[in-house]
Amino acid sequence: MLFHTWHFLIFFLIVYLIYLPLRKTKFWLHWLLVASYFFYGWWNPLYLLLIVYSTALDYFVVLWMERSPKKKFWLTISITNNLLLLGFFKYGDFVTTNLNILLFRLGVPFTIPAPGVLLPVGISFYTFQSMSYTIDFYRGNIKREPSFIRFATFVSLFSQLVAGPIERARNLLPQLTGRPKIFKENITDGLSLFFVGLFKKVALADYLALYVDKVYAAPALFDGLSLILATFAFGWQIYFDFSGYTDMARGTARMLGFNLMLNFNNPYLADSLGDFWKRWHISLSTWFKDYVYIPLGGNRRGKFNTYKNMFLTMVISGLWHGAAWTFVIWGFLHAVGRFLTRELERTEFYVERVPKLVKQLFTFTFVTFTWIFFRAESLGDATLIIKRVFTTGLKDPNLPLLMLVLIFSIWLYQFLYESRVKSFLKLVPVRVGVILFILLYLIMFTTSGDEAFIYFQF
Amino acid sequence: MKHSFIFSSNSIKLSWKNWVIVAALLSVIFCFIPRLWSILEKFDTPRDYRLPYILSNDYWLFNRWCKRASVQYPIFIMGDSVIWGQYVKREDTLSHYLNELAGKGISANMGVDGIHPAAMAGLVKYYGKPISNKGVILHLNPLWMSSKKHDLRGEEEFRFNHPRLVPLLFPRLACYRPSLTERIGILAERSTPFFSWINHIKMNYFDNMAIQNWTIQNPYKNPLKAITLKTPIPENKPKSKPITWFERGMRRQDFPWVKIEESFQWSSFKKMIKILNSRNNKVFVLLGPFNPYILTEESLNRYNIMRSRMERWFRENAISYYSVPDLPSKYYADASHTLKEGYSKIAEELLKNESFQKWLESLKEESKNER
Repeated sequence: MLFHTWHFLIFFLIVYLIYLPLRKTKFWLHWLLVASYFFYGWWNPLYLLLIVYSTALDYFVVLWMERSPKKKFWLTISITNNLLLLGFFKYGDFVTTNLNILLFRLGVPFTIPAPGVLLPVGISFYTFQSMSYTIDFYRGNIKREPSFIRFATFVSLFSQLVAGPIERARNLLPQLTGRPKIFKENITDGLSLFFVGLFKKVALADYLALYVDKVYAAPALFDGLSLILATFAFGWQIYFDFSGYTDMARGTARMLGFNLMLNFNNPYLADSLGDFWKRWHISLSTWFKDYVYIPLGGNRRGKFNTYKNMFLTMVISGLWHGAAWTFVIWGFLHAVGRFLTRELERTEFYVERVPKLVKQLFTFTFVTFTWIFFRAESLGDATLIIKRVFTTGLKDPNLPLLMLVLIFSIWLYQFLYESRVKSFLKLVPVRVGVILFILLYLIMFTTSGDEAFIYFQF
Repeated sequence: MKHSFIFSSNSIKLSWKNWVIVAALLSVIFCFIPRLWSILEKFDTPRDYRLPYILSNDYWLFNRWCKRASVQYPIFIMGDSVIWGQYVKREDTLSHYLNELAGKGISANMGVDGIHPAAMAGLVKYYGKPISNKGVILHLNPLWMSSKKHDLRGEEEFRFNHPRLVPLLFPRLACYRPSLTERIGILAERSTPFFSWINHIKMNYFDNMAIQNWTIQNPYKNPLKAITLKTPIPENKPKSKPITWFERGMRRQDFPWVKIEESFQWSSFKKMIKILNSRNNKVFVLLGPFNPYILTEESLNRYNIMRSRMERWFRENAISYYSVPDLPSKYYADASHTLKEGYSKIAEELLKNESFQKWLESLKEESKNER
């Protein structure tokens, strides 16, 4: 059930209309859990077994952790279990394929059968969310959640179940304690967030996909300029797609009375790669920072170790996005980029002399370049695209001007939002005008396609 | 516990009052844009006008043509491409010959390509509201009842004409399975002229594509410039080559035909008569033409039985009708369309028909009474 479909709208209306009176009773949490499991089971009811199993295990692990002196043992059980789930469902095929290639090259006449299982939607998100609970409890950052229903709702809350934001127990669990309060602002904010997200997804991301998919499906047929523009468009497509989803998730949660964390903060205005990762998929990058980078030692043990930790974190982050070498290389490139620019960013010349806009464009260009690996169907395609960018001509790319107008309008809006004229954007006629434009554009110009969100595959 | 909430990375945050303003502005736009568009967009309807063939699915334009024609003509001739005139120029259509023989413009060509009775019932119900207090010649093309598939009672899903006009829920059509999104889109279109107007814009200016898909086909064209504010005047030439059915190489067909008691198209046709009557229209049914030479003997027998049952129903329900007699073989262009000679002949015979004359008289009477 995708957020931008009528199925979801009908589902949400039913859930919400029952939720509103029920929130004053003790059954509101049960209702939210039933709704969340229904939402998740809509994809495939069998997925429910997995999420219930994962939830139950982490719930009881923390219970045993509290009662047992062997805390580390129970933490290891939780982490191993979650990583095994992820490993089997997400990386099973990838690992066996690569092992079989290796065996073939070594001349071993044996083939490991691939698991061939379907990746359950959202598994990367809810396992990370659930793991954060056990790790935070182990560290003593949070108390054990006594109610299984509450914990299960925390793991499966439908607003953010399938593609985040990956919430921390210390933010969301307290909001699920006590009856939710819904004020007028919850509904108005929620609607604003939802419609902006819907616009990003349906009017922008799906539109850009029309061009990007065409070019990336057969890169050998396109020249340098088309490939550059398709990559540029993809950079915006994935931003609109994922941040659109997040906005809708935050909007629905807000209407239910919950505040989910900000996940995107105008990432293409970042003036360094470090800044980019503070603005892009914030819930994931902070997750990796808190649960991978810092446990590895962070920046505490000298420059070499800092870069080693940064490097490992980025590569793991790349692999989290997908079971393919292209994602590993994407993470690797970000690690290399971060390594190179971190030193540069500390030089006086860079800090004092280089204008912010140049830094922003430089960061944007680098990030866009790395998207080639993220989007390409294979490593071969990615290298072919880079080769063709530098070796083929600048034939007419046939990129619709309307796409460019929309992208640059949004970019300009974001620049203004982070500039001194921000107050202009807060004027009532501007805000009302923007929403009116968004609604009319959605009604008049978009198709009724049911394109899935890119991040659902992760 | 109070939780701080970072709204977003933009300022698009509205208060209740702001949302009320948005809702009010949207309502104004919904109500007035289609009306304003009718004033702004040039819509020439020369003599013997018929809707442009490529805009056959533009129901907003059909509605506009209804409004225009209701001022100019006392009689509407409704039907599929037989009435539209698939194989003839617009000055060779049935409506033209009727006007010519009557010596004045009495009838408007409301033919829509591919519109079968089930769709026509929807067209009349949702988009044909301006057709009231009129005389309506309702053409019934028996071809739509020639098989279970044409009758939309097939079990397998298939693409048929004008799906946006057939019933969405009741009766359930096994051959039509739109998605929930499509159903809601269709409902919105039927109930709010704004949405059918959007379709008009797409069809009229963007080659029947969503604007986003259109820009992929026309990357450097300005979509705003594509909106020329002109409805195309249909090319005055036959849509298909005007040759006879045998010159076309058509062979004899063994249409199975359906029983009218079970026919969905027939029940839709009856429903349409009911709708038109409820709007104070006087309906006259034109049954046929149909090419008997194209049918095998058995098929022709079954067809004649079906036709006689239909005629009986018209008589029993006091509905004026004219069953087009068999024309010379060379007048037919295919199973149901005629060439210009056919239309001329039908018009001539129709004006001589007693039932039609009475019906015309009753229209005149009514018109006098109204004055």
